[in-house]
Amino acid sequence: MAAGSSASNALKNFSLANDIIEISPQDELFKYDPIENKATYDAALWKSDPNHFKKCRISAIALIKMVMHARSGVPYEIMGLVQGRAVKDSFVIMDSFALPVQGTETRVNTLESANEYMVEYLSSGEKIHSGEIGNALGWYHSHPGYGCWLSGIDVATQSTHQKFEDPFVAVVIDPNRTISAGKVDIGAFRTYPEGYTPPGGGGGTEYQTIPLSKIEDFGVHANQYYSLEVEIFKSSLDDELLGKLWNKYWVNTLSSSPLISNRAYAVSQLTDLHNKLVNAQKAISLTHATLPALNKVNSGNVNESTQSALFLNPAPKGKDREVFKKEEKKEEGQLQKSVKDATKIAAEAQHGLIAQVLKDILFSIRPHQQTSDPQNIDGILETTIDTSPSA
Amino acid sequence: MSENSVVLPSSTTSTLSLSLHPLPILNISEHLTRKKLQTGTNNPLGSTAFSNDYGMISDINCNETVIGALLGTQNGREVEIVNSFDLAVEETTEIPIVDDAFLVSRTQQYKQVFPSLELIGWYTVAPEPTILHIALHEQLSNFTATPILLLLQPPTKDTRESPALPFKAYEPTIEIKDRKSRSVFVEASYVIETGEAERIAVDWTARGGEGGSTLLSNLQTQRAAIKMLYDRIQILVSYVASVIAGKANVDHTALRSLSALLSSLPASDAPEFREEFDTEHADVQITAYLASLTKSTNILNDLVDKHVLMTSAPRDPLGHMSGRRTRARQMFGVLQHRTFPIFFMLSEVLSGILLLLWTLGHPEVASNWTNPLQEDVAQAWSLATVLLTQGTNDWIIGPLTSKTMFERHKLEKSEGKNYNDVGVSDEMKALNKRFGMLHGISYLLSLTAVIALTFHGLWLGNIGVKPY
Repeated sequence: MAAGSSASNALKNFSLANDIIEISPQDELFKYDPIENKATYDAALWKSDPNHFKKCRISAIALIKMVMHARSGVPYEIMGLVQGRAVKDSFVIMDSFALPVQGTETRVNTLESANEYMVEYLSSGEKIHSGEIGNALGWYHSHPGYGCWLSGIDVATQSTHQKFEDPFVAVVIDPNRTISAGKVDIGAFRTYPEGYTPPGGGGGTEYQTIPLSKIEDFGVHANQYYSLEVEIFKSSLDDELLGKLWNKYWVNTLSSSPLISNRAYAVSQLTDLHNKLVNAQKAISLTHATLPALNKVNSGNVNESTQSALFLNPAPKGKDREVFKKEEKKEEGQLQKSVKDATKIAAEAQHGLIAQVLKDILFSIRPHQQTSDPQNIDGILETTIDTSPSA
Repeated sequence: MSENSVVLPSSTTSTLSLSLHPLPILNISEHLTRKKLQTGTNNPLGSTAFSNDYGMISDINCNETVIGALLGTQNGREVEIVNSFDLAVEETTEIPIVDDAFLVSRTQQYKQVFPSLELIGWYTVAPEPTILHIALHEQLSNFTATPILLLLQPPTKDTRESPALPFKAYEPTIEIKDRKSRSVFVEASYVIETGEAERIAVDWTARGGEGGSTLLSNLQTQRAAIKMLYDRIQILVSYVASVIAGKANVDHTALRSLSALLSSLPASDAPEFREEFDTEHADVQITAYLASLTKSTNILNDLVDKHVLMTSAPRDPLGHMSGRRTRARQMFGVLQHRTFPIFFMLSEVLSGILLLLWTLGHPEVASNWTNPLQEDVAQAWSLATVLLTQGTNDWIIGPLTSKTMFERHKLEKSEGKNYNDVGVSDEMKALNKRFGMLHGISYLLSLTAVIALTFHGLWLGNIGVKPY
């Protein structure tokens, strides 16, 4: 009996040994090399260069945990910590865990119990892994419904962390926008040290739809931090499993109804747009067109310079042109911003409607019954393309 | 000693309705990958693998066994597995001992953030459950009544090619046989459940987390899902076709359920549903309409602004409508530029003629013209002064002043400010000064001419100026 079992075990051994699975290069990030790690931390290049970190690579499970935590906390802001390590010029986030605090926008320091939790979690975590997950590398929190950026309090919190616990990264997630847009809305940021002016302007580069109540907070601090490029990584086994998972949850994709699940958020977006349009209406009489200005007149006043006559000076070359273009962008009126917001809301609603109409076509047509639905879907697609921001 | 498998034969299935979320699946996979890489081995179950009597392959020297706890919710027979975390084990003995304190504290920590989650079961990596797992199960039973076991089957060539997930779930139960009871596992089937946010996150990571146009990605997702449905329908259709053709066995259950499915189409015929659907449709289209309206308003506003800019004179940036007044002033300047030369010309010509007549009438003037105190010569000199000053005005000062005035007009137009506004540019100030100077000179010259003429006139009329 024992011989039989050991023989079968030997067979198992053998077959397993022969089905050796290579470590794919994709899994390299999961490998933890203590020597290399120590060298990186000793060099500490981030202390000398505020712009040192350029990328933030987040593992699949860290991302999913953060998103689910953020979603479960709506409408409150939640926060947690991420664990990982710094590799060259990017943060590698391996895992994340939630903290039992809420409403992080009202105070800089977390509660005492959260600190205890943090310490206990991290220390007990050492029992299950020997450093491959890494230490606390940053914190994440959610902005339900108002975009991924750092508010004044966030900037203060992050600056403190960066002073004492560098390397540290701030991650922000918007769960409402995630569901509405159908893709994860996430951003990773690093603040600049006090008194450091970034070359060429900091802050977010893309325009974001931010509700009126928060837009001031955004604008005031936009230059004090910069955003990192976010990348997701997963192991090859993850890839395999995800492929197989799709076989099971495609049903959920079809059956999901973004229009219904997003109703409250869509309503709040429309209310916000309404307020912005009212503001735009007040400011409309002050708008004026600017001549295509070519060069700065030596008057020292930027506004005047944009109206210099065409035939006075030749077009600026190179750097002047870039600087000029930036100034032109800043003059975007309230109405133009509202156009972008409206377009975004409409596009997202269209996406939801596409899902509904597709289901309608699939499941509501009797055999031998002609309906006008195929034309419907064409019409909707055209509307979506027309209202998309590039148009 | 495991002559009997600890798993009951497949005819017995558990009655649990088990839902599994993608997150624990990915957690377990990452746990395995990490351990695999940590030990630097290719064999997921340990390098110096040895077999013990329990059929478990593990390396006793380092903490390699992949064991973890499952968190979730349980309502009667409905179990949902939502999350998971790694467990610490001591492997000094042949049966790994789970670190109780760690398990309890971690569960508590998760409960603080997610109060509804409880310890539901545990997971490990093995092809199928063995006696070892029963032993571990006993340990975990101290913490929860019936811990579900989730097994990840180690990746082999077979598991990779099969489209099914390499996970199996087992429910522990007691088997009574030959008056002896022992714990065994019963395989349980599971379905995959996701929340909305989870689905989007999983989908996004599956696609590599790229950005891209949302319309495109949205349509792609929909298409992928519909394709799955289509594939399955194709299979059903081909099955029914082969049954009709007599090639396949008739499975009445399958055919019955197929018929039930077909008769449930259309999904809903109720008029309330139609109404609701149409209302929603209209709502979305109104939103699109709003966006187009806003866009058109913005374009219209831009157009109006540009039109205003093109058709009016330079505006005071403070917003005052000084266009009309400025234009009037500038037109007046042009008028002056046109009429002054005529005036000067007349003065020159007439004073020239008078001087000529005077010299002709008083011939001694010509010879004595260097002596202005002589009465006649004085008059000649007056007339000459008039001729000279107006000549200067006409030929020198006048053109200069006009030129300066036009330069100033141009600058006013380009700067958008009147010459007498506060805070004009330095260039404008220079022009102002120059213009002022020239204008002053011209004025003085004209004044001199007037005085000279008055003197001559008074002398002619014998008024006040005593002819001597």
